[in-house]
Amino acid sequence: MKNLKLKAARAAKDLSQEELAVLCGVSRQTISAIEKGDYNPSIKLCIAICKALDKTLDDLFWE
Amino acid sequence: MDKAFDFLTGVVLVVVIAVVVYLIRKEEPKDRQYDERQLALRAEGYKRGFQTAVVAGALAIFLVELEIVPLASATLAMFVAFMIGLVTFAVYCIMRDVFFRVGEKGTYYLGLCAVIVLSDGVAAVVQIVDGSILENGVPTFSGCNALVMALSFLVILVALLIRKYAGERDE
Repeated sequence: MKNLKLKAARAAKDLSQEELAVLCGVSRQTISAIEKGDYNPSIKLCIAICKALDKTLDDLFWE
Repeated sequence: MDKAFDFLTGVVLVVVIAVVVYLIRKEEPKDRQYDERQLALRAEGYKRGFQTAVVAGALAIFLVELEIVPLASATLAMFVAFMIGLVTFAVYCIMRDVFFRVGEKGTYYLGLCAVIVLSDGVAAVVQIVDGSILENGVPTFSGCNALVMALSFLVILVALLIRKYAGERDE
């Protein structure tokens, strides 16, 4: 399932996938896979993404 | 004398490649790692490469050792099976962007593959032209290893180029 909230939050911060990936210490393709719904990140990576985008886990990863 | 020259040529080539790789890798940061998605997919890649090598090896033994079809020497058949497994792993990882570490560009891998394809390709062409690829009408390891290496790394090089240009288009 696509993670549109993540994509919207990244766009709101004017970050590219590459920039967000660098902030989280992962590859650009991993961020892309998460946004497309092709990969479920670990809680550790979820927290890193939330910190980079100033959002909570509920905001980005809970339905 | 010929064998000594061939050995010396091989040693010189290995030294040249090692120096090129050292100089290129010296420029790269040392702290690059694989991220969690990459590790998971690489594990799947290792599994598929191993399974492919086992199946190819079993098929090679079945065909060659039982002399059902005199395709090749047993050594060459097992070497081909090993390279098929290696190429399976490499192509699987390359096409899923998990071959290189986070932030690693992989330019030197492209150069290295190109050098291997070129050097082994030239050796293979020479062996085909002078007929040393066959021994008593059967391909042998010593006659065909250059050809197998050249073809294997050509497949890997093509996969690297496809991902490089597809990745640039994605961005």
